Amino acid sequence: MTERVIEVNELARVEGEGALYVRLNGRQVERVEFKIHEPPRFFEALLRGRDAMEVPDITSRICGICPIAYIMSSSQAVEDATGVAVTPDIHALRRMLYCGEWIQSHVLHAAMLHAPDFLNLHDAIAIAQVNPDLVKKALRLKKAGNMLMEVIGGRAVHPVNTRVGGFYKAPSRQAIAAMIPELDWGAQAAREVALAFAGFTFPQDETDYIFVSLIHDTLYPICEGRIGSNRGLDIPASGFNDHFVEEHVARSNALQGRMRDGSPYLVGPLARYANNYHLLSEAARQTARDCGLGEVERNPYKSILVRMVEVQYAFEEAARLARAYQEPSPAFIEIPHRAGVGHACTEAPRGICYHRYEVDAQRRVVMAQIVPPTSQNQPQIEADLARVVAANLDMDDAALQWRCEQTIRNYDPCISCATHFLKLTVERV
Amino acid sequence: MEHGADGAGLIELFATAPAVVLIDATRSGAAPGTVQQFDAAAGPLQADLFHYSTHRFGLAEAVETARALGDLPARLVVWGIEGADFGPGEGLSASVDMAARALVTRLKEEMGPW
Repeated sequence: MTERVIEVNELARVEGEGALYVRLNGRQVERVEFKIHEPPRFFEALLRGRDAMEVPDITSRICGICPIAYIMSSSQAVEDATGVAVTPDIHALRRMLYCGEWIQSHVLHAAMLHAPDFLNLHDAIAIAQVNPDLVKKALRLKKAGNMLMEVIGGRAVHPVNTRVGGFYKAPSRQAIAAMIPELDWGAQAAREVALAFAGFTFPQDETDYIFVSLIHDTLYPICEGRIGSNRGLDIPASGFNDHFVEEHVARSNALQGRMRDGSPYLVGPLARYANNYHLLSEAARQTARDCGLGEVERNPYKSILVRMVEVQYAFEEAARLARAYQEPSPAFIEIPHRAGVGHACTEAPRGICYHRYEVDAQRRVVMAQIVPPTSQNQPQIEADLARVVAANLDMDDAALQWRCEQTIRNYDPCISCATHFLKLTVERV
Repeated sequence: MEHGADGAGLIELFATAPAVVLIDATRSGAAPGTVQQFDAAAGPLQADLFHYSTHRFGLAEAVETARALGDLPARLVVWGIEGADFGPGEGLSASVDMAARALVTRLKEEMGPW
């Protein structure tokens, strides 16, 4: 028997510190481990005893890529705990802000970090050398996402204008209207990038994922809706712990999420798209069709296309909301000192981000639970790796390592969030 | 100007001035507080000196992407100060703090010709 070990100790083009270890015994895959060695960060514990009003500003620091996901899930969960409902105008402004985060995060990952995998290039600098126009377009798209964050949130990273109950100050109608031309440009440019990426050669791979995402009656869900799956799950956010569990495994500083029956499941763009295809705009669906995507996409490598379809949608949606914008008045709803337990789940770019807070009569946090998307995706990432390695045993170690890293990047894993990624070892024994 | 977080944002800033001085932390293995100067307009930066994240653009990636796009300012000098401790915590170590203050004083004196 020939032993092979593929080990990557520092995975590149992912957020945070992680590693991969693969051990093969002849043609038998003996071990596949996706390890997260980003140090634990103890956010849930340090929230205890804090005024619940502080929670969004603290939890937003979990991630510089997706702070809005933490701000929105935590704000909505505290509002749920204290019995507050925000106005439709506040909710619409939150959704527009969240579009900015989807755009920023998806464009960075798809164009700068994931695209090099399909072009056999090591980084975006190499893409800039061979296709400067693509990189310039991607940078402008990302900047447009920053614009939404700055105009609504006060700055591009870790916004300062958001609060439990709404916003400190509503942006003026003029400031929102001034963004519309760039948002309209972005929708068209995102379509062009999606169509360009559709020309990549995608590895053949499919599996019957359990797709878990928010679901909604009328809107492609971002920060509203129930938790659903392609297996018929349809529950409110408050039912999360009845259907999902997190477990600790020795190799990872991030908890791993599974269904209660032990099954891995997938959250993120593929899941949102499969569960909510009919809620995309007609233009975004047309782009999906023109990219060769079905209404359900089970090839994880094509997640890069789904991300760009979602970028197009986010631009269209932000432009629609900007055209209909009414300054929320008041800009926020007062949060009472009331004891309660609150839950919320919103769609971070990488998938659902669930928060639960128990608040006492002084509005202090008694207990906090934060379940980020990458924690939930870890078992599915390992299952994908085992399947991909088994199907590509004839590759040499360098090619197999590349394919494994590409497989992990399909998930745009946010390891800093989850420790709350990559060193690769392939061992052939 | 202080620019945090995303190195890609530096590319936009490069377009705003014909001459740019950048200061960042380095991790080269040199003694903490060691100051190094690089003429980035003259040649490529060593990426791993300024590497701080596997996900985001660091300073070197931003400079090299801008170079590939033809967007580098005519004059671009990069100063690196070797860090002592990249772990969680507040404030600078004494050697880095002293080096940073000395560099700021020196650059203020040299800025005249800019």
